[in-house]
Amino acid sequence: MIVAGVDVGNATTEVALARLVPGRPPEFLSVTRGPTTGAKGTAASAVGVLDLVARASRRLGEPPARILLSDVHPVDTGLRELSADEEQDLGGVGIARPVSATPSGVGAAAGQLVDLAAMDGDPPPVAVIPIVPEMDFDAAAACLNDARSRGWDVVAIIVTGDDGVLIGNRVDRSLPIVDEVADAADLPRGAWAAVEVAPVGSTVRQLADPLRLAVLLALDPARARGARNAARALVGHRAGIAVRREASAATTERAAARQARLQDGGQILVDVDTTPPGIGQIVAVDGIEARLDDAFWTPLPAAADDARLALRLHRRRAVGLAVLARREDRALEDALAAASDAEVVVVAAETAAAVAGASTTPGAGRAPIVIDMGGGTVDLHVELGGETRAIAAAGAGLLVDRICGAVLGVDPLRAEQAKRLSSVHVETPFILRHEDGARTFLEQPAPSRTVAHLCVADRRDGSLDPLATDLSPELWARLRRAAKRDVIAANLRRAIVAVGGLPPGELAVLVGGCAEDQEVVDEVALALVDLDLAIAAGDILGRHGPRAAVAVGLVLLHAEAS
Amino acid sequence: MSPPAVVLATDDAAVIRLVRAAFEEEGVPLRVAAPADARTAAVQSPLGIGIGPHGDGLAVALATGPSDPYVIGDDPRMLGRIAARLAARRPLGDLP
Repeated sequence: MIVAGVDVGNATTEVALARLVPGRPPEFLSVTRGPTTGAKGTAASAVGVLDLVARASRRLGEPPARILLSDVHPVDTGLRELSADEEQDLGGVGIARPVSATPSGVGAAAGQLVDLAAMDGDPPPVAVIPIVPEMDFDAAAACLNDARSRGWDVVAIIVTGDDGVLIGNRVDRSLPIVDEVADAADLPRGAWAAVEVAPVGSTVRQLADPLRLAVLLALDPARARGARNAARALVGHRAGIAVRREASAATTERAAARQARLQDGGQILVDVDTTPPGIGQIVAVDGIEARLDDAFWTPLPAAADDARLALRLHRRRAVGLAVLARREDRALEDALAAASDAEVVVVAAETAAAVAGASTTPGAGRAPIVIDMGGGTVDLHVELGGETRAIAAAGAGLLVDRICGAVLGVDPLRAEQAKRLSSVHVETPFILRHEDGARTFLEQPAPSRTVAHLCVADRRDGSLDPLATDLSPELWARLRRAAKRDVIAANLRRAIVAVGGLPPGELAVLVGGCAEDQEVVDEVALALVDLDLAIAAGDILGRHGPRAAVAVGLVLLHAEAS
Repeated sequence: MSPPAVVLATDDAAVIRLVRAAFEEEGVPLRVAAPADARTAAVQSPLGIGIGPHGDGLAVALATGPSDPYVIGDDPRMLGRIAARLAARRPLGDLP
């Protein structure tokens, strides 16, 4: 008889097919996996299960007589991205961070924004900052020189195209000139503005200081304090533009704290900046429609030893929030039974299945502690001294994807690749610099769009995915590992506290998709080093790596029982 | 010994003006040489980067590796910027 052990995770569904012959150990025929369709445990997730079972049994030429499930309450996990910098109140100061790979001049100056085309008349009594549209650099320089000869007090220049140095060389090399200002057309003509260009290798100082920024923009002391977010937003940039806007009415000072309801009926404010993650026992968070079993949030990783970079990352205050809600229905079971000829059998609790599956790792003997690091949750399964404990903690691989995406500014799909794969900096078309500083030579030149970019490198096909960020591979690798530590290792710690600790010297087997990532395994081992556990990556049946522990375990338990 | 420079192999004055502008903007030295294809220009360049005519447009070529042009396009300012940034090891920006 053919049976199919099925494990539906938040991100991945796994199916183990085996032939059962009474009196003999099960003969495993295949282990397959595919993306989970719909939310875990719902009728929609049955579609993916049936598809995987059908594909595997087609190859086999024989459909399974039984589909084996674990007895698990479906868990809904969700991710919410909290505040981002665009929502921040900049205190009535508009900012622009021009690309300006090659600005001209050095220093900061303030003046009234004026169109180059409007400089043919008499000069105003104040200093001006002309805005040069896309046009020939010689013509632009001629216009500017002509206006200056007629008394216009030009203190800085904003250039739409990539002509900053060309115009500086033809007008005045000492003037701060920012270029590649794509949204120059949106700058409010007539408004008072400040422009700063830092020396090469350095970053803006005046615009990054709220008081100097306020003085440049002639803000009164009360508004100077409100300019701090604008100043912070320019930290770490070589060139910047700040524009005084009329104070907006009653904008919020910061993203409002969220109200969370606790299990005992109490209420707390979940202020993502100040509340430590993982208080547990949160049953509801304001704005999220579900009864929660767990909530976990973490800010973006920062570089603690680099204040400038830490500030730059801080301005994106996106915070990942993972929530977990338990449901009581049997939707998956019912949907599978309705759509398949196979008998659907609930074999055992998920913990028993995970332990049985993980125990097939060569050399393990019996694996009483299984740490399942999946997409939505980190699950800790313990079967020790006749006692069974299981904890699902919200926040795992998918939350790491979101955090990586927020750091790099890419969508979750590319972020998932960036999380898994290592990165390189393409120094020249022929030279790659790796995360440890090592350099390798290419036989074929790298594509032009990758040159001088941080790229996600796929070793299997040698492809390079260029990222817009200016992070170095060395730094990105640190932030990426920090994200894994902050989410998966921290969450596991929480789960261990919740089960009342683990006995030293015992074996803990890591399974689940995240256990395929050596960086996660390393971070987990480091985070648990004080517990003195034997931490090993699972290798299910000695050939499937850390995948499919539950699916294989279900088959084993079912064979034992029948 | 010749000073480090990218070589532009053309006698088209309009092209020379725009490519020169791109190199001035990037702060990278450029030498103009007699008309030749981009690969020949690259081989002449101590930096191993050359610009030359390619069909109706221009090509940027590297002195080593495959002899095909590295980037081809018809905007002299853009091709100049790409060659200059290649030499300066800066991200190339918009590509044709």
